[in-house]
Amino acid sequence: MWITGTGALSCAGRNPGELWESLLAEKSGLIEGLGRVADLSPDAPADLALSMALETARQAMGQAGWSHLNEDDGIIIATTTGQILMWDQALLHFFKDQADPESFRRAFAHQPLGQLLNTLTESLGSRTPHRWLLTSACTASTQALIMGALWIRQKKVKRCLVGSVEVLCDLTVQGFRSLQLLSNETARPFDRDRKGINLSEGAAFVCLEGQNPGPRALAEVRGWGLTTDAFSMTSPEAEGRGSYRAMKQALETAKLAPNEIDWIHAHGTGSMHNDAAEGQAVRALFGAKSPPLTSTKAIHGHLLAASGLLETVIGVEALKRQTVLGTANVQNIDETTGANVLVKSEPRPLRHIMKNTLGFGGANAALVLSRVGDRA
Amino acid sequence: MSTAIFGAHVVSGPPAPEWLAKPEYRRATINMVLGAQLLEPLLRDLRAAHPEVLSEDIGLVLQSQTGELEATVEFLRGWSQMGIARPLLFQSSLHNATAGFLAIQYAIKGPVISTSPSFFSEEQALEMAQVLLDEKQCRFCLVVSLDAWPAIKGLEGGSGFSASYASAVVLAREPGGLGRRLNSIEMKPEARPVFTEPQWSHRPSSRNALFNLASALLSSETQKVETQKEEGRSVITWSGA
Repeated sequence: MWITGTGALSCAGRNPGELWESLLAEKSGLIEGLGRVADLSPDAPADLALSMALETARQAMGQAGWSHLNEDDGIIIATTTGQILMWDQALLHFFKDQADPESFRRAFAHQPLGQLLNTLTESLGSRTPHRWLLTSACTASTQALIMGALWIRQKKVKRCLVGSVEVLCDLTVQGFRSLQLLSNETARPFDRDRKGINLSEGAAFVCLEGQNPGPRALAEVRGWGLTTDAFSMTSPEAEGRGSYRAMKQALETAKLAPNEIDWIHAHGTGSMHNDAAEGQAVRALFGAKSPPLTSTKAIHGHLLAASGLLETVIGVEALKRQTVLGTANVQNIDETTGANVLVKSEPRPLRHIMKNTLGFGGANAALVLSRVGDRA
Repeated sequence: MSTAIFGAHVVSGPPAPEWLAKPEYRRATINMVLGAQLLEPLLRDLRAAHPEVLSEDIGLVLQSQTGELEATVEFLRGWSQMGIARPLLFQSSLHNATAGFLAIQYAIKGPVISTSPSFFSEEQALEMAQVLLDEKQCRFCLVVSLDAWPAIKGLEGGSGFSASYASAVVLAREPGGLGRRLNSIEMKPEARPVFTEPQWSHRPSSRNALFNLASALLSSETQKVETQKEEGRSVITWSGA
């Protein structure tokens, strides 16, 4: 499977190039621990989720040279918030007897997360019936990319537009705060002085094709793994066994040995439980000589469902530029995690990289991305 | 490629009182209890028939239109009216909360995916499961469709739930179980207007393909069944082995 187009919109940049420059310069887009996307086009739809998704989808499709989605193309979107900004305030007004039932009904029609998928597909001018919407928390967009690859392999669709979008809203901001996971300071993944995670909004899209697209190819999706902890609703299994199995599956489907992975882009949220479990999973799979591992969430924050795909776009840029990124804002590496944390960005030959993701509900997913032309 | 159907189960209406009364479900949402009521007999049968099956061999695709609406509404109500954000309500409000809950309850360690079809195509979960099986991501895949709509005062009056339902089928890579096969899921483009209103009072079972499939498997001896969803959005077919 080949990635032929990417799009990214976050507090750290309006496209993959801007995001990459922010990452290299360690210029965080977070303000007081939250990452907001500002300055959308004046003619963008009022619906922030739809607006961000449309802009980012068009970036990816433009780069891939896709003018439209055909009826035998697929589209997969991942989100946990969807169009919540279109209905959450209406619900609150309704509770306070400040909204009439009809206006509330109209607003509340946006509540099913899948509604975003239909609106986006139609806004892209497509009538494809091949539409999936995944909601598996922070793992959703990595799952979406994997499912897109499998969908194409099974010849159910010819190409697939895979995207993800998240908005900041009361539900997630106050919800994560209630779990005491949020930090008002910029996150410090894998740092022993970590304070918590930073939520952010944004979108990421990739165009996925099954037949070798020649010079249009940006990277190859070569391996994948999907597993579940069955342990806790909100914490990963303490030793990271589920994450270990996902990364192991990804190596097996890629037909690669652990020592052939040149870089790991970690989930690295900066929560104590995530860092510990992910570090142990990496150590168990790759051993003492594990490849360097990086979290970039101090720059763009945690985009929840969109994080895996945004970080996949970063991985594509890293392969293209043959450069690994450092873990911004880390000062005192937490050695107890066992991870080989990379602090500073540097040029480095990259053939194969691992993107790892963990999520609430115990969902794990891992990807192996390869440089174009590196299939043995 | 066709897929074997191992089992099926439906719950029409709210969870049975004895399920709601179970102490272990005291903090569970209605969706979670519905899901547990569905999966317990199916997994008991599956593990009895295949004692060698590992937790890692079992996958789950759970589709829900509105997800954890009950917990979401209560969380937002508490936050807006009292300034209290309750962590349990938040973690239960996530759309994949029931999928995660069921994975924990029944030790499901293969791929677990949650999805919201939004009245577009209830077949998408079946197709995802077929893809997972055909790609050997799991040996058995539970496909669950459920929704519970809380009654919201002012819209329809009353309390409790205005509608709820749940259905599940177990798909398998190998023959056995019910001795039937899911042959094809054909998705057809169609210019149906996008859903524009929440359908508070309608019962989705009449138009939910997975519910219809599960019901037919449980009650029909028909060797070949085809169903065309209303308005021609998609077609699902299944047949005897």
